[in-house]
Amino acid sequence: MNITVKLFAQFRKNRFNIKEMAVPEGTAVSDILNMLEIDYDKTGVIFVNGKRSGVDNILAENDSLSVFPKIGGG
Amino acid sequence: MDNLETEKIAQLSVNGYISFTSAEKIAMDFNLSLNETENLILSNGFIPLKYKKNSFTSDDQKRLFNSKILIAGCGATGQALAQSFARLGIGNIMFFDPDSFEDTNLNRQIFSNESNLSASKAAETEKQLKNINSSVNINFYEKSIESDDFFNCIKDTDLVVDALDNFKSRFYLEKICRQKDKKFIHTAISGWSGQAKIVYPEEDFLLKTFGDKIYNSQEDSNNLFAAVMTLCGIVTSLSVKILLNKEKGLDRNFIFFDLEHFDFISEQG
Repeated sequence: MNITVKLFAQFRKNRFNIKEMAVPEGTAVSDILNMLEIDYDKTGVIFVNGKRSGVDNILAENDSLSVFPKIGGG
Repeated sequence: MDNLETEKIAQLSVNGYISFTSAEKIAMDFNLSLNETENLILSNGFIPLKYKKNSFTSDDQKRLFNSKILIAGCGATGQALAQSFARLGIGNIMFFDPDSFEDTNLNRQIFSNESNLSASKAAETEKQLKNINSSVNINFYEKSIESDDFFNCIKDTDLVVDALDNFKSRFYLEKICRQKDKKFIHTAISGWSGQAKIVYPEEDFLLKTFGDKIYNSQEDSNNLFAAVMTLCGIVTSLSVKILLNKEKGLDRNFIFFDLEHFDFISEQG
């Protein structure tokens, strides 16, 4: 199945801004993070199709995944 | 309402506005504080001239003047917001921060300068806000939010803002706000990026999003002035909407910006 992955801020470095990816059925958000070597502890808000999502969420055909970094300065 | 005072205000007004000099005269003549004077001016449908360019109605300006905002943390974000709120004419501003200024604050903390390094951030912020708008009631605490004072302050505030720099304190703030049934605005910055969200008591947004991760005591020490200013603008707008009950439509949004890549995201989530 095909999904779209959008990365934000420092996650783009050496990766991409937006990319269509072909992934197996049953792929979870966490699988994508592993594939892209994004450290889970460095992630903040994650959206799937504009709705907040956890990492265990199983993706579906044409889903759009957005991954924001955890930021915490003040 | 005392007629003499009302008459005096009307007499000194120009096109519905009262200058700072006239407000000082009214305060002097009727033995009022500048805070009491401003309240009187707004209660009579006049607007202090200093707020003219805010372009609020006198009712909205009065509502802001009677509002109470509690800022948790008085670093880059807290100081910028404190200034923004004072210039807007929000009449009661409280803030908590146990820290003092140091060299690495000079790149972005608006009240830090080369003469006040090692001075208390909370005390300096109060001093500088008084120079900007002396009508505002300011209560500052040179202590962390995990103090009884914070617990007591939060009770009668209209809005709480998370301007903290670490998640341990943020989780505590979220817990207290939930206990007290208060919404708060979460904010954070890192580098050229920032984020903001109105968090409702039942949401547990911070705990659910960040609760299971590993943290440094202070997160993301690389923060730029430009990101602070952008965040300040966004949070000021959210704050005004909340205080004037106009936040509908934005209330569940997660807002994120990245000035390096010119991303401005607002998702309903």
